[in-house]
Amino acid sequence: CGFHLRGLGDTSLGVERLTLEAPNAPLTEEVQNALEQVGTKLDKNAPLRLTLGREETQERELGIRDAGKQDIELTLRAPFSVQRKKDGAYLIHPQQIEVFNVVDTQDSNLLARDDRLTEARQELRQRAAEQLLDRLRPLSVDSVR
Amino acid sequence: LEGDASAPIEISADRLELDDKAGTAIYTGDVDMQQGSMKLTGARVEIQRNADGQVSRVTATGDRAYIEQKPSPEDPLAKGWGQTIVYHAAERRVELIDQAELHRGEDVFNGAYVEYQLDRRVVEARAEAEGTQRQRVRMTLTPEQ
Amino acid sequence: APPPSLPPGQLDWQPWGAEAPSGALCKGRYVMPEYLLPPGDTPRQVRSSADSARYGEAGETILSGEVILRRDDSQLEAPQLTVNAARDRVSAQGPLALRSSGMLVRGNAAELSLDSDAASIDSAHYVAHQQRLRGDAQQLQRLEDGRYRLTEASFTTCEPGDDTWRLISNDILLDREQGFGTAKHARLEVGKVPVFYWPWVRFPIDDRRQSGFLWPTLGFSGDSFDYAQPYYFNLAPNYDATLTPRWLTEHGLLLGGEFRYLFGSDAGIIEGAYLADDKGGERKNPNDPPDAFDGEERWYLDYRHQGRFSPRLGYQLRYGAASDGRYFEDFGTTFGQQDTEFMSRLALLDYRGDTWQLEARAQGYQRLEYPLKENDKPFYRLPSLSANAAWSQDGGFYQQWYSNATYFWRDVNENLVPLDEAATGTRLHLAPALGWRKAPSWGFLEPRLEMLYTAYSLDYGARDTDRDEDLTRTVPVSSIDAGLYFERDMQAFGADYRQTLEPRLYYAYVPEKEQSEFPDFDTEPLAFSWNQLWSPYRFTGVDRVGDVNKLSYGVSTRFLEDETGRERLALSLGQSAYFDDRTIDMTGDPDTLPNRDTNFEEWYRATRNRSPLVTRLDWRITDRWSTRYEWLYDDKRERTEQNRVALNYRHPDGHVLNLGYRWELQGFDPGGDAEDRLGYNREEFDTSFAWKANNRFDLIGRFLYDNTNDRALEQLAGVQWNDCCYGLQLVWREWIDDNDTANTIADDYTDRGIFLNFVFKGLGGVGQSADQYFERAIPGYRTTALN
Repeated sequence: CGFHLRGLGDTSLGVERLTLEAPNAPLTEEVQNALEQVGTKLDKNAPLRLTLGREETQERELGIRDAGKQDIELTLRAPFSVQRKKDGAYLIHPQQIEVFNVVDTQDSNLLARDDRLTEARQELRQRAAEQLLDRLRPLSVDSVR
Repeated sequence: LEGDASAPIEISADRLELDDKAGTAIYTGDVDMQQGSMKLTGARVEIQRNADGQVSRVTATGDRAYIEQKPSPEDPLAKGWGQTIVYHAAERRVELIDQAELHRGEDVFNGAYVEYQLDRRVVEARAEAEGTQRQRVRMTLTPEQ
Repeated sequence: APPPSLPPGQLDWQPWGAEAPSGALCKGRYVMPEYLLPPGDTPRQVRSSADSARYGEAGETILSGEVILRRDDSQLEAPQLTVNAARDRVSAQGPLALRSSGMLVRGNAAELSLDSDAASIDSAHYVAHQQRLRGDAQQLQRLEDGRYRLTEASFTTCEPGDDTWRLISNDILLDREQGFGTAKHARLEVGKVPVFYWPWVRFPIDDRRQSGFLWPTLGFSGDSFDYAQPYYFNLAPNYDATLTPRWLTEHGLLLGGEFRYLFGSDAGIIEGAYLADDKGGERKNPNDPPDAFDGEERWYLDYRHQGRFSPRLGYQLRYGAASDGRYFEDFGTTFGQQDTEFMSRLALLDYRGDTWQLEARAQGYQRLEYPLKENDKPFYRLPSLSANAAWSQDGGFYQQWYSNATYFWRDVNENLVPLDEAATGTRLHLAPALGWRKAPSWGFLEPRLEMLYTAYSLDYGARDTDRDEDLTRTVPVSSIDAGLYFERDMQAFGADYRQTLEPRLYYAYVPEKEQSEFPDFDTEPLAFSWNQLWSPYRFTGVDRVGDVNKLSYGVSTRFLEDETGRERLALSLGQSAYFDDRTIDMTGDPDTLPNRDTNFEEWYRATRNRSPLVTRLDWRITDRWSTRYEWLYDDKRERTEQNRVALNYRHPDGHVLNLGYRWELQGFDPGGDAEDRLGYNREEFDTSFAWKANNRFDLIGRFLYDNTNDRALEQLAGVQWNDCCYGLQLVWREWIDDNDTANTIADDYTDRGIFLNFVFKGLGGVGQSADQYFERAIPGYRTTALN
């Protein structure tokens, strides 16, 4: 039915080398891991620069609070863009990655609630990194020159 | 100045017509008249004398006749322009008619008709004068330092 | 009283007529006409034009007949005026018009200074074009320093001819440079009806920072009336404060305050309120004793501070406290604030190195419940020290280190709480992990082994128990994660897409370990979810490590737009097969299972050999319609355990429609104490909408319906009217408070509130802005700014 294994050899991104410009934050770490795992090297003088902004998380209560139990929709957004250093042209114009998750929290143990939300944010960062890779995949090799 | 009216008059002009019966003298053509601190120029200057031969009235016309006098030793020169200038020597009063302009101290008057007294700070400017169309009075004041 | 206003034509008012810009709220705008005379050669020189000009006897200069006087950027038009001999003052007869620095003043007599900007105009009518202000005054004075003093004056931002509201006062001072005005004996008239009175009031006249200034807040619920009058102190560019005395008929005078500051990378806010002697008020919650808080002190405090010592080293401070659990229900100013359930306390120091990430924190909470039962009191972490690190090598090997030492404490009578919550003490937790991850473009494989070592040293205080006070536990957690990525290009939704097919297998094994005498500091069992399929853990926190021996299998398919890679649709299915029963639950005893007869749901959860089948769909149908769907189905008992459906509509003009459905089987969520477990199957319909008729009119509504108990959990209806010089937000909300007990609805009660927010444009808002709550209650709704 037309499916084939995705692959361009070792790296799944069309881009072998990237300069990552991002704040010192947990999301940056996840993006670095994700890029390294798909074989993209991070180095200072790569032709392309990926600029990643600070993450912003938003908690929104779904439904109503039932005895301290509350479904919280956690959304994480982060701005990013990809430029060609040579002429500063935007290969990917500044836009946002956005991932969400519904976390059911429980007030009876507030420390557990805090851990639960911290774990959920960390998990969202991993999914945000994956979404970022999806957005980088269409960057074909020749766009780099 | 005070003694202008009795000061000797020097006039230079292209032509002179005398009418002893009427007691008038009419100079035409680039007329330049001096009497004490008063200086008068114009295309045509008509001088009338009173019974005992003193100058009673001087009427100058031109494409803007010009008159300048020193109202008093400490006052700066008063300069006036007008299509017609009438100088009433006895009253020391000057009328500037049609495109009248008076520079008195730092003040400047423009209008259809400007009348001023030499030995008193009296100036009257109007937008109407017979024989001319309406010309709004424009005045520039400069407050003392 | 101020003189009557002039018709629009005389106030430089130009109606838009045909070419009104889209979204214009006002029917026109003020336009300052061109000057009639050029300025003087020097700023002090005065040019004029008139029908006649003459020197008066005393040396003054008299101009008459449609006189126009121009000095610097001021222009005066009058039938007659006189410049005094000293040439430093002009007095003019009306009807005159003075234009200067973006303001027009008409009056019938005026005195102007020629040395400074000072001027005074009698029976004046003024317009400030840019700030869209106008008004009338028996006398208008422009002072040397450029401020305007108006006596017996009025002030409004409404269009000429529209007197929706105006402020009347016998002494108004407008400071356009600072951007605010003050008024003495001020009276606010709405449509000619006096509505408020202030002995002294301060208000912004442009949208600078003063816009944070709130006019009085008005609230009324039941027969009680609530009036707050904030005073704003713009102390310095980087710190300011608001003092808000608030008078409540039911309770008395509550003094509130807020102080905000920003220094370099450090910023903080401290807010609070204090009421010395509460008159008690009618208790909203019928379960409270009627005179619960009579005569008591009621207060709250919330301090938040954040800063950085360096790009790697940041810190946070937070301390929240309230006098009692009902404080916010009685004094919360916004719907959101009224729902405050706890106040957090935190001191956090966080260092992010390249490999190591260190964190030291002291953390605790105050739970706002009334009465607060002993076992509901939260634990404090005094402190919690963490050190985490990660290393990886090119071949795919990686190592991770997680370590934490925490001292748990709480002030509680040990004899009144369950035994596993009776102890305080120290916990050390180490979690080294080894793994190998290979992720070529077509898939990934990741075997991983983690050793969880946990040691406790406990203190049961006055409680006598034969439980051991020194405990340790070592649990290996091993897992293998594998997946493939298949792709194909295809046409769908009328565009080019890459469709992926991502099968995934995950095996996890955690042996059962004795934990029955372990305390419960920060652990809760997790309700089943998609994420739990791919995770070896069944609890949050560390006090319990659940045994598991499962194989999870799942497949996802995603449609990614070709050029942008943006995800248009993602559909996933997944399930776990369990090879052993799960014996560890909160009791932590590996040798027992829950009793099948008395506790069937727990027993079934521990012994079922297949997890619910999880189906997830996230689909952007069009750029306006999108849907999310999550369904947990028990294929053995053939019934749905949890189901969440959401259908959302977003229109570019701001209209929003959200349709939501939630179903949860009773007993599905194992968390919480007995009173926190649902006593029924939960089925809710959650619909909300926002409709922006035009830029003037917003209608919002929400209806949350509990289908199991046939009752409306929350109803909210609101209208926001946005006009040229005022904005109005009126909201009615009725909701059910469950008195913190889910297992019964007998003690639930209905609470309701009316919310009025009247914004005098150019004067800052009146009343708390309810926007934040609406944007949370109605997903996707962005309120139109009311200015």
